[in-house]
Amino acid sequence: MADVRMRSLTKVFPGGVRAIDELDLEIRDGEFFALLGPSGCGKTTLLRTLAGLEAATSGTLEIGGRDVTRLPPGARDVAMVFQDYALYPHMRVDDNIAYPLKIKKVKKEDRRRQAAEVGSHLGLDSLLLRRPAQLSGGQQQRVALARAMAFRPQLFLLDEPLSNLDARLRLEARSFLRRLQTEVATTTVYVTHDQAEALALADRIAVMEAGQIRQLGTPVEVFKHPANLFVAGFIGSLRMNLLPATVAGERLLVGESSTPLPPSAAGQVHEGENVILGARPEFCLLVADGEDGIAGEVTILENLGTEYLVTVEAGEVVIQVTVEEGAEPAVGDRVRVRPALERTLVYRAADGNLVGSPAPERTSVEA
Amino acid sequence: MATRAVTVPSESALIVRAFLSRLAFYLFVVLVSAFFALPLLWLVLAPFDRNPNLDVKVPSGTLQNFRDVFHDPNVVTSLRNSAILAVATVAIVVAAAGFAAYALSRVRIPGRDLLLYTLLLFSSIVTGSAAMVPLFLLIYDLGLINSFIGVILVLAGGLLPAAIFILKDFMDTVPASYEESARVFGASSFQVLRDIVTPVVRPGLAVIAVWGLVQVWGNFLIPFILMRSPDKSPAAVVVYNFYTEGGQADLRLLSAFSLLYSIPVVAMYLFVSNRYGFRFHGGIKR
Repeated sequence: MADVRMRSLTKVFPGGVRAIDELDLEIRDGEFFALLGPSGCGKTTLLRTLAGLEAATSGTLEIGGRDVTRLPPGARDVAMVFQDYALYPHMRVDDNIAYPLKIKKVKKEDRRRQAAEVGSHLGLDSLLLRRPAQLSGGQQQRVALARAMAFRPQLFLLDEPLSNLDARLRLEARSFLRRLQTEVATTTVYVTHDQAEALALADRIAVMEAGQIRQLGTPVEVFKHPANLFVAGFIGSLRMNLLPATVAGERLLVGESSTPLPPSAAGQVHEGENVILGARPEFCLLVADGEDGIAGEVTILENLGTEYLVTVEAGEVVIQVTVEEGAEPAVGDRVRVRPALERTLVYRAADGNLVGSPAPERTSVEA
Repeated sequence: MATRAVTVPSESALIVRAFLSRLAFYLFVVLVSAFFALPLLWLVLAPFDRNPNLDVKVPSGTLQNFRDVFHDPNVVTSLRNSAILAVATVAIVVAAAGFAAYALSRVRIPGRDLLLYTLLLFSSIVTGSAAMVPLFLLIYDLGLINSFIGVILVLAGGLLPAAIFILKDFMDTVPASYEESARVFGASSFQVLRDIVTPVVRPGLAVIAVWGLVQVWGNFLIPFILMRSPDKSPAAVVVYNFYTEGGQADLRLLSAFSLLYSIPVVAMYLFVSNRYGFRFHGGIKR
């Protein structure tokens, strides 16, 4: 059990790429913490720096109150699960699980017994004598988790452990992982590029871009109030509508139409200011032409199963909205889209930051 | 109609043509096979003939040649010497090439590929006849003439470049994550090499070992130059000494000894083929 503190942590690769840029971050004891971002954002480098596989260029890193910035990987008391699981092909499953114990010089019978215990906890009883090549992807993943657990580390590091599984299995493994982490209650840092995974699993999420944290918060905070346009565009299974708009009194002009200024932004923007209106397709309402809303013509109709994703175009403005099945319009219909006022966000066009919500938590250090 | 019948051969003519081309092909294959098979056939048959000549013929069926060959005191010692040279050289080559290939595979140094290809180029030079004089002088100055160590060092030096080159490919196939996961658990470099890398590249090490054994077993030039006394000469050199009093090659002893000499190599081939099935492409399928 341990918390993790990073202060101005920086990693510059030879050649000058700043993979991690002056990062201040605190991960709480027992937390399931997700590092989320597109590829190349530095999330995996950060995880490898936590593991000690990359040496930080500057800054400090503490795990459980101990400065480990300059310690080699083996001395940090962390366990890492790799994207490809890194199971040793020549060892049986139980020997794979027991390998960390072998390094710790645990006696052979003891480590076999412990490996069997951990293995049975993860439902691997019948597989202990097999080789990794004889296991399915999901089973391999559980062996990799079992091996990390057998080590009883202070900190788990998971590098996209679900990305090699097929879609159905991934959902199963996701629930399994969440339950396991709650049981074990070991601080876990989880790297993913899949926002749905991060939202579903994590206690807190750090959304990263270009080596910096663009937003830090709970899944609910990150989903409801993306702190800036990058996070707004990244979080959500359906991409948030981000429409250029101009403040005009109590309303926002969007293309030819207008929509009321959300209460959250009232008094924070000045007349004529250029802003970006952010509204998730799920939080928009399709209304008949003539009612209040952004007017346009239905151009695309996509079936999402339980609902339809309707694309409405009005000149330059393209806005998407979800509609319950059965209530979908026809392509070519003139309609209006009304963003739900309480759920509509306003971003400043100048810097891309959210208007009217508490200053983004970005790199704040909590006590 | 008539013109079409001329341009399109009838069905039976096609069959005849296909048959003839098949026949020609098989005839060619048989000739080529015979060219390579006859010497081998001689090797298997001649030792059992009382008076072998260079013809391949049904042997008279005797073991007298083997009795005679074992009567020669140099025969058993030479086979033993060959074994010593082969095993010791291979031990050095496998160990040294293993470490070197691992390092070359893992450490990024400028000009690494150039180094590797230069090494490969050198491998054919070091043990080749071009380097014989300097090698002889070197070993002479080191005082290692007529010693196993001298021969072993030269042979190992000759095999190492190619061995490193081949092994590096095997090392490259070991995913970095295998080692990194072990390192995160606290394994030392030595433990990683012993527990993870070596078992995973074992087919590669086996390739190097068998290839090295065969190379040393068959090497004539280096022990011939560096070994002075017959009791230290390996089989490849001793086979050169089977002459009759008249100065003619003694085919009875020569053929029997040749068969004995080739058995270990064939056995090795069968062992490796059986054990590894010649899936010598390295790495691990997941």
